[in-house]
Amino acid sequence: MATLTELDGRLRLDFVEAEVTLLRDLLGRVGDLLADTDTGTGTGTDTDTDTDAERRTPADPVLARLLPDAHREDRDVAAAYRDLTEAGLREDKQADVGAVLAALPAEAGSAVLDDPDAWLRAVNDIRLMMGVELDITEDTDVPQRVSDQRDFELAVYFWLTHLQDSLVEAVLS
Amino acid sequence: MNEDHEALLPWITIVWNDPVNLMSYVTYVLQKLFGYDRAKATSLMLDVHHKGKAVVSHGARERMEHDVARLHGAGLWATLQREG
Repeated sequence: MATLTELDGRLRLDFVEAEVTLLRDLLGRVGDLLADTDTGTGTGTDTDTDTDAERRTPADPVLARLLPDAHREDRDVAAAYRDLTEAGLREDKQADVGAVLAALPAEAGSAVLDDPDAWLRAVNDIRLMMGVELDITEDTDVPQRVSDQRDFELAVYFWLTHLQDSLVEAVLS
Repeated sequence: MNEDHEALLPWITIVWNDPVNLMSYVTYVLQKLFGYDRAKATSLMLDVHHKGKAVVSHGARERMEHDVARLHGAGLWATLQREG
């Protein structure tokens, strides 16, 4: 289990190799999703132009959660907001993913968290992605047995939840 | 309500409950982004958790768009709307 320590005001995480492999894979998936601007937008049945298509909620449910609508009912407000912000939000999230990937050791080893908030956001974005994929609810529990792929992914999700909780506790203290 | 009156209403930023964001993380984000003290941030977080949502800021539309953008950056589920 990734171990968090604090020394002279700096946070450090120690990982075993399997954890680094998992984190790299998951961060890569988040980064790839955010980089994909071609297929991420909805394909309406009308004859909207490409420009309008870019203004819609992403069709991919994970992207729709990472880049959510800013208004619940008013599509014009949501579209105007998306025009203003979506590209920047994608870039910021990709930068967080890149910062964590760059800080991770090549194999077992430690990472110094120069920007703990970037780690919090990136780990949270992985959890948001998995939350959609695994259909996480308030009642979802840690699996008692790992008997299929979903159990395994749930175990990874709760590992990241623990990591996130430890990081929050460290930055709040 | 007529349109002139409606146009004068301020906008609000709402954070909605979701099953992934940790209570501790939501509290931290509200403290960090808005400068709320621990008690105020915790109170808003508990409203999100128990009532399903909380108004975390209000003001001009542009200001609320900025707040929503920062909340989305942190992964919170936030929207803006006209007050009322």
